[in-house]
Amino acid sequence: MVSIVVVRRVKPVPYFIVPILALLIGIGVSIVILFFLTGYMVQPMDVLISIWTGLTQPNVIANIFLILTIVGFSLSMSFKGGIYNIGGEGQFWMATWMIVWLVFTTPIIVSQAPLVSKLVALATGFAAGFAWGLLAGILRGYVGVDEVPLTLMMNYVAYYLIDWLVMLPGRPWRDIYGYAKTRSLPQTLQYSIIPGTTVSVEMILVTIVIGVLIWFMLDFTRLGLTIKIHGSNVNLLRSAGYSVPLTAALALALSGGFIGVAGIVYLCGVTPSIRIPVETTTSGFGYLGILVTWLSMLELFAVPIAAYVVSSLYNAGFTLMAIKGTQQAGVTAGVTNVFMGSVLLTYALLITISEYEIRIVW
Amino acid sequence: MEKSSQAIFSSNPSPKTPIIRVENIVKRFPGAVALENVSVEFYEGTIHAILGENGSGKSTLVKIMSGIYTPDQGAIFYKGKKVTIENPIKALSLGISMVSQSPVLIDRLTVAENLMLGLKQLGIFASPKSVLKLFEEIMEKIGIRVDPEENVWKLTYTQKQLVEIARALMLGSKVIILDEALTYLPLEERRKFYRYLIEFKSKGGLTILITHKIPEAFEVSDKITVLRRGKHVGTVRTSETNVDTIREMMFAERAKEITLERLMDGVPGETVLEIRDLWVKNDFGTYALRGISLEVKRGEVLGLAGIVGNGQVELAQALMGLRNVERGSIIMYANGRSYVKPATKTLREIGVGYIPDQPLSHGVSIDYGLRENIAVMPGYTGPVINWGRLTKLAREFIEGLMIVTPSAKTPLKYLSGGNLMKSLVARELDLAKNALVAYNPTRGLDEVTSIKVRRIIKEKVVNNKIGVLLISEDLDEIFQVSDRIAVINEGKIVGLFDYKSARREEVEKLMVM
Amino acid sequence: MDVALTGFLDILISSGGLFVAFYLMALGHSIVEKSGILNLAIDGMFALSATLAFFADVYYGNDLLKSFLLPAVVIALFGLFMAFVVTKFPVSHGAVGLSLMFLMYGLSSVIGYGPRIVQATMPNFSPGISLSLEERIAGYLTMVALSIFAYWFIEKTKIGVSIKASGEDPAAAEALGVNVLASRLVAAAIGFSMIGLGGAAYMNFYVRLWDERAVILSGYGWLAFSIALSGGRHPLVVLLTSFIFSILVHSSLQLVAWYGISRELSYSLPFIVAIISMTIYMATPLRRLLASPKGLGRIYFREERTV
Repeated sequence: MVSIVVVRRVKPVPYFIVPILALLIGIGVSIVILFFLTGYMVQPMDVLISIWTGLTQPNVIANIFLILTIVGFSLSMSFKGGIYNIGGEGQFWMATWMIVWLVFTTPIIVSQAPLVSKLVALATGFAAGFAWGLLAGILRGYVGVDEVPLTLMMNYVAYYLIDWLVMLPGRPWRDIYGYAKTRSLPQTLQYSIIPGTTVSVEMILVTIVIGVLIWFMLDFTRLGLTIKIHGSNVNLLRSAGYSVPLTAALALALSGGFIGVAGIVYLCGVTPSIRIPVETTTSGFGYLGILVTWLSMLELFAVPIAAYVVSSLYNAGFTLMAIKGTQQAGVTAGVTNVFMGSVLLTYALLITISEYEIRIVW
Repeated sequence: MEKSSQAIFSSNPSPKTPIIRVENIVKRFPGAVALENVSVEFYEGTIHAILGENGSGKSTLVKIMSGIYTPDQGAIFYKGKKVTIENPIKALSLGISMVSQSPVLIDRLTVAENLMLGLKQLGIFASPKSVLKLFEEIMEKIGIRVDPEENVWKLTYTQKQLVEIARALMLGSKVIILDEALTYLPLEERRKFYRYLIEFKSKGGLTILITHKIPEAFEVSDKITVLRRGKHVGTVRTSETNVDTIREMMFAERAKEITLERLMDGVPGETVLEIRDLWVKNDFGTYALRGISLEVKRGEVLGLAGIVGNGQVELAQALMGLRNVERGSIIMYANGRSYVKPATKTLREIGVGYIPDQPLSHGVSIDYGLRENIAVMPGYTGPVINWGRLTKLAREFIEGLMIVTPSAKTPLKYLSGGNLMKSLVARELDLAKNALVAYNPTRGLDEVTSIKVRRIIKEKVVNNKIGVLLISEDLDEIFQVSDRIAVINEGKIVGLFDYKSARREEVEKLMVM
Repeated sequence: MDVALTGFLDILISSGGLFVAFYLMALGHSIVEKSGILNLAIDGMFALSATLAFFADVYYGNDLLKSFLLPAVVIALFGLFMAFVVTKFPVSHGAVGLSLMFLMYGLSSVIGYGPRIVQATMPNFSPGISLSLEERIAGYLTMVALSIFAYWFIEKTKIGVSIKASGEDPAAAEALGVNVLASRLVAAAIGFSMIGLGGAAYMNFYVRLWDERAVILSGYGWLAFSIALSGGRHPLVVLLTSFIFSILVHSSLQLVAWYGISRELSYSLPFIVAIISMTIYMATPLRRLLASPKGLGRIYFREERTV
């Protein structure tokens, strides 16, 4: 009788093999799925062309790339701590809401000089994302609620809360013409896009700063070390005298804070208003970021590389549907999910071969 | 008996075909070779002991025979036919069952539910009640009293072990492997069980008894196989050999070096740790410690002897602030003041080291290297980490205990078990500026390193005037290192001796009373 | 007082379809998780099974047999794959579950698109059926019967004990003679097909339409997850939690009418309650009384090092 035996490897394989294989196989699987499920409408060539277009048009995907890089860095912080922050969407959008609310109800932000107001906006975004993440972090750390369903459901709560708040009648943030969106942010807060691209100097700077900051925090501070040890051996952390619940809560909250910054970058640099209903208009960066972080194998330097690939895939979804003439929002998002799910699944399966050898025994 | 560079055999071999034969078994683990070309024959109607010190490979060998591990090379023959035992179910189908030192019973299920799991004769819709009758019969035979409808987590260690043994019998096993399963049973229970083993033998059953205690092998076995460092040294009939020969086979030329010679005496000074009437609960809500009072002085090692499962784990954890204290107090005397029930963080900051019973799960992070494992401890770094300084410190540890590792930042998972333990011990000894709580500090280490570690601990005790509470299940270790010896039994201190007035037999008796 | 009572009865009756859907999903999920498999794909499975039911309804003219069978089989196949992979290989349950979730969201979008276009050409067509009062009561009673059967199966049979053992401690279970893979595959076959049936029930008995917000973005799979968790994965207790949530979700729309709160805010209520109920479970003795399987979601790897 044949059976499969799994044995731990004595020396692991080079770590980049798995993400690359996962991408290739995942895309291959997606091609097959799309081909058959759309009744042969979506041909393999179409998919490959759309991915290629995405990869080779950095201008088009640059803004997505930067935002995904920020989210990827932020999620690394919590994932390295063993905390699976699936609540990026909620943290992202609560940050955007916080800014919109502040901008249209108080003069705190807008009365400052443009540079200062932009910095305050980023800081506020961090605070909002941090708070939203901290809520989940406390429940996870101190009560032990599983953070995956918790943060995920908090995404829904955030979506619906914002939907409700934006559409409250007679509020200063409502769109003047009554459309289902908020008023646009004032020009002083909006980032100026470099002509010929989709990005601004501010976006590039923020991305770099956050990358360096998170790298420093994780690798050179005691806080970062405790987060990493929390992800490796919780008992060790406890016997070293640290508070395990606090570490868990902080890991979630900090990653939420940085994702909040991504939200501000999005609002100031891509779309200056929140469009309702959020659950259908969101690009899903909070979720796409998970793919980025996983593909980067939690190595910070690989995050931008993974982000580039994922933004190409994201763009491929749009391009593909444009080719087919069926630019239905739902189907486009669906195609992205097919890519994302296939690649993630392949990755989750392949990651075992990096640490383990699989033997067939007769 | 002939001595040669190859295995030692008895002069009159048995005529029958062995029921199990392992041939040229090789098994490797990351960083170590556990078994190297081991070949042994086992016969029906025998009680066959396998002796060897820690790391000799005896446990690995029987785990291969019971389907938990697969050999990298080599073959197993069952009744003359080659077989692959790829999982425990296959082993069970061949009539091979194993009882190990730690029970595998599933806590949350009842005894009856655990027992019904392996029984092929029960259909998939059979109710747990169908095992009750068979279990009653077996309970009679081996002389135990356990309520089969009870959840397993409520049973004592002894009861769990006996249920496991009952299970092996219920399964109609032809081969029962006892992997140190009896070593920690109270003497009374163990003797009762030996009588049953002899009956099992007379019916043609094979018992394979793993132990590292030579007297146990001599008490009940017919044959003894000795393994040393993964190699088969020899197999002899018990009646044709003696304790010294076996000891020589186990330790060879090192038998002279390995003297469990007494280390230097401590110089007791003032009290560093005081435990007063401590009551601590275990994970299941019952009291593991019932009013323990002890004092550890600076400059001495207080050894705590006891059979596993009598409250040692809970004591170590309570002392380190990792488990709640229901009643009583713990007082630490350091820096010119006293600390009452200090929190873990405080203890670490004062300088109390902790070598936990399960080093891999509680003492180190294997994903990171030695320098990260040092940095995580209070006192070694500020909010911003200076890796240069830490790497230097790590290198000192590596040299001091001769830890085999490529670098100070190589993740510990790539180190062998022994080197991992050395890394932990090095760090804890450095941390221990005032006291050290050590539980089985030399578990998994070879004899030479074990002695080195014990010597370093004792030197630190004498030179730096720290106080050490050494909890150990190894009486040899206790007697080698301690200045005073306490005995713990069912959560109480049942004896306290000065080293000079402690007698081994009395300590053993108190342990199993 | 009378009005409130009638109002409550109305809600009770009209939420019957949702109750059936929630209970089937939560019970199936509970059985799967009792065997030790952490199922984070549940929301994707919900979306996909509702979509497949819709697909069958449109293309086979509301043939309910096909409409229930198709999702049950498809989800069971995905589930068997998941059960096999997490048991045989040291793979993260959470990672596999979440990836399947996203994949299934994507599949739902792509699969649902076609039938929706077709449905637009069929003016008087609605997927599923409208349940009569007797049918709804029968639905409630069937679920109660199912819960009793499930309880007997899990607690009083050897296969059920094997499933529980695999969930508590697969290594110990194997040593005790349990074929962990087989037990988990059985649990998966039963549990995941139930989840599929639940999604089909949602489509056919309750929502009876297909669009992103009703199916893919509803998050009802996660509500079923909380229902199972706060009910301790116990077939009888989950009956109660499913009931409470079905009433809650259904009446949240009523709250709009009664108290004038915004519709969007009412959508968030079930999730807030779900979070609260998970918190209550974890923070109270419930956590020990109706404990999770100790080995839930743990990677099962047999060859460990010797130290």
